Amino acid sequence: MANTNAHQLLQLALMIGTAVICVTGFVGIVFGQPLLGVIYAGMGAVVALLTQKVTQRKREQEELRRTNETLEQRVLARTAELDSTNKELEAFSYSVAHDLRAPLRHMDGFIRLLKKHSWASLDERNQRYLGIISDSARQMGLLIDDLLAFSRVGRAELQLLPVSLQQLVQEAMQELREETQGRNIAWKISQLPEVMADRSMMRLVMINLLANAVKFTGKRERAEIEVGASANEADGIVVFVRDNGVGFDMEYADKLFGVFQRLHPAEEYEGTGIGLANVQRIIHRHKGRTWARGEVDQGATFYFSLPKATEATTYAKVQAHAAG
Amino acid sequence: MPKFKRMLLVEDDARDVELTLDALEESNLANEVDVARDGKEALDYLYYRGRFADRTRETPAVVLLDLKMPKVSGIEVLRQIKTDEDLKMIPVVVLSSSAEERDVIESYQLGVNAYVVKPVDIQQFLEAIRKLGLFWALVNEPPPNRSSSAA
Repeated sequence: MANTNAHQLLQLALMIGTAVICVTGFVGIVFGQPLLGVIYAGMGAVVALLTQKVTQRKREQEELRRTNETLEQRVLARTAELDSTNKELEAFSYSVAHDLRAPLRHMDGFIRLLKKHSWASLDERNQRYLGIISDSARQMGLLIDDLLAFSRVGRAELQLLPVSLQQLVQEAMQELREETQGRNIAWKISQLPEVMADRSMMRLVMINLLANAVKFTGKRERAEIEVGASANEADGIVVFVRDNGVGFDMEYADKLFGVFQRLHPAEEYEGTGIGLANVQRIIHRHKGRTWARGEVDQGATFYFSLPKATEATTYAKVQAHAAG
Repeated sequence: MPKFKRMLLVEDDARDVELTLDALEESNLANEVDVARDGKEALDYLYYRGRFADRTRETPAVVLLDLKMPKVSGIEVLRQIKTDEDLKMIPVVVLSSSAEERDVIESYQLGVNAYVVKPVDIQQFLEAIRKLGLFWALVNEPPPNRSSSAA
């Protein structure tokens, strides 16, 4: 706005200048000073040219302003669109949470009532059928819960704060007490750095990775689980969790992080297959990446990287760079 | 035999009513439960209106409240209870199908006394209802009966 005003003033000044010069030049010619007249006329022409330039510049700026305005409007419209899509997604997951769980609860519930009232009159085969229906209803309940949690991981806002990975590993091990009880597990936890990250999400990452390691070493007499970290230029901070469990075929490595993908039969290793998908989603949201190495029956190593940033300022730079 | 206090179950889904009553029955609590089938009925019950106009003047020991109901939702019932001078002392336990964050937050902001997610696993469901029933009908000391002034 101030710019436009300045322009108008400049234009006015130039016009008055032109008029003054022209009038003075004319007076010079009339009073027999032709040279003076020519000089003034020349100056008049220069000033007129300048006036034209200023007008043109002003027009260009006006155009630029209009383009900016349209751009701004388009950004606003797109943001509104995204907002409404987000709201739709939220409504969708809300409805899934409420409306899909209820019928499952009823299935399991009424099978129980059926068992309660007529268990004795059912033969073994029919009892087994009922058991399977119950199990399936419960399994679908777990799948729905996991899907909802997965969708939350994608939507929740990241709260980036300094987080000690060392501490998160300790917490994850605490969390897994039940699974590790009575097992012979040799833990090797190296020095781990502090990173800028969303604490509760990174906690989920560590719990998922350690739970996997615990689960897939289940048949080892002595499980070995190692957690370590390194740093390099390309990836930043790299954290790994290594185990001596059943491993996997590298041919299917790209499927490991998919939603509900499993590389082992559910009868042998329980779980819905969402854990690593959560890990990947969380790490991607932190602008890092995930990958894995393994060999059948020779253990597996899961890696994730985070942009190198142990301090808030470094992280801000990385973010700005990524955004720019 | 200890004296059980009355409870109000607010639930629109007939199947959930049956499963909940069955669970309470196993703890010998089913006889102490009144059922309202939507939010409007729940308010009728609390204000002694409609089909509850003639019920005994007695404040329930707890309201077990479903959230997703037609007409008047659970959240609206909760708001009404907690903003009414005569009703706000009644303990309210939300029994919801899900733990969606906004429901949990809104319920607590309105002053809910507990928030329980109905588990899909029926054994866990039974256990949750049994514990709830015993706690609120037996263990907890309810607020003094204000029914005389509640009409």
